[in-house]
Amino acid sequence: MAQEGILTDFDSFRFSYESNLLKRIESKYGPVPLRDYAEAQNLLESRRRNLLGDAVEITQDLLPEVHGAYGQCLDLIGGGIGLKGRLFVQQSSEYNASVFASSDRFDVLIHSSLLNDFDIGRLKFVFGHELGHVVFGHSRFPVNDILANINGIPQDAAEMLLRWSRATEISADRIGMLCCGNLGNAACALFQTSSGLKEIDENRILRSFRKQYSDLEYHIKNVGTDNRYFRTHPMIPIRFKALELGSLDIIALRRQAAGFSWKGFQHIDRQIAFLLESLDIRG
Amino acid sequence: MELKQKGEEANVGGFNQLMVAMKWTTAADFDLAAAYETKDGQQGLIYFGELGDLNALPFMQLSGDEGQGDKGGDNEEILRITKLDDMNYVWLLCWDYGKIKDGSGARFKDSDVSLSVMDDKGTTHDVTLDTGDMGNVALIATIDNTSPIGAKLVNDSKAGTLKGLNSLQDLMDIISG
Repeated sequence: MAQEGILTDFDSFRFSYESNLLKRIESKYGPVPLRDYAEAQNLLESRRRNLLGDAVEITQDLLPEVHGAYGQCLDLIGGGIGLKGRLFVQQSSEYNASVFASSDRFDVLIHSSLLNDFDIGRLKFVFGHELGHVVFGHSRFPVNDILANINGIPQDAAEMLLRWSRATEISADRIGMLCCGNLGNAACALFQTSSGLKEIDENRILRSFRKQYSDLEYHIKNVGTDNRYFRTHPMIPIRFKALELGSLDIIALRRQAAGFSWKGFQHIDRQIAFLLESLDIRG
Repeated sequence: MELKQKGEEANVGGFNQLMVAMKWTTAADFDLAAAYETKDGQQGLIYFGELGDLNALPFMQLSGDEGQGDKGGDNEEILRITKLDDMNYVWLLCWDYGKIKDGSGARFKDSDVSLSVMDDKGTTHDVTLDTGDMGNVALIATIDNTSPIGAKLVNDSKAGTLKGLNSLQDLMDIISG
């Protein structure tokens, strides 16, 4: 059963590495320019026009189960702050979703392949991930615009921004995990997105991710390449590992179970930050 | 599900991860610990002196000693298990290290120690320590992962006495005794 507004302090749930990287960037290069309110509103309305024109809004009448699942995620995450946002679907065979927010208004877009191929538990992970970007305010930072002009900024600054961008995805994944309620759903959603394969047993997926993470970690730490880690999103096995390590605490928070404490959560968060930073430094 | 009495068990198969919370309110300096045996026969112990690792064998970690000082109140210690695949058994133990050092008995009988075991789907099993045995080490529950069908959580509730934590074998003798 969905609980309303389980999180009252989103910053405590945010991946600490994300906050720390932003502090480091700002202490070294000055404040990151935020998108101003008028620009954000304009972008939102422009995007909405396109969605109303080229996509289809998912309503209770059109797709009750999907709309209901999305509503449960909104209640769980945003019940306390009245989070509201529209959900659209657009035809595409690529597994992808996106969100743009301005203040408390936002629109989520998912591709039709997700609705066709993902079950409700996996869709909740996707919805939660996008809602995570909303509640953590990631749209305020026009990182893609800054990186589009990558030659105009110092390489070190660009790398730090990319590290920050990757860390924001880990924060968003946590909200996805909170919404879908177990590691299996989250891991299967990541696996399906990465591989395109359907109907693989959950335990095989978990074993596959664990092995591939170990291989990737070894490769990053021991094999030199000319390719620096220029990605806005973390590699999928790294996202899995961050979820795997944090999942018990996130589930305990969702269930209000014995064993959850913010102190314990922060302890795990620091371990994940240490792990990701060690990969960032060597990557 | 509640396992209040010694010998009660629950099939908890189908999970990959577990969070174990040991709670007590009575004034006692208890510690949560876990002994384990891997599928290839290796034995080990996770306790306040060896907190473990979530990302490498044994894929379990203690939160640290949070119930220090023989104080009453909401005492709690947490053990997280991120992967159980490689384990045959995990034995969940409670001890009073102060009493182990001098070989005296702990106050298990007068305590309200309980375990809450949550799996990775959020299902919780509560295990109550049900023993009048004298001792300073209590085996509260066993996670038996030897069956291909899935893991079993058993309320074992038995106690024994150690004088010093000299070898893992001493502890294993209590577990198997």
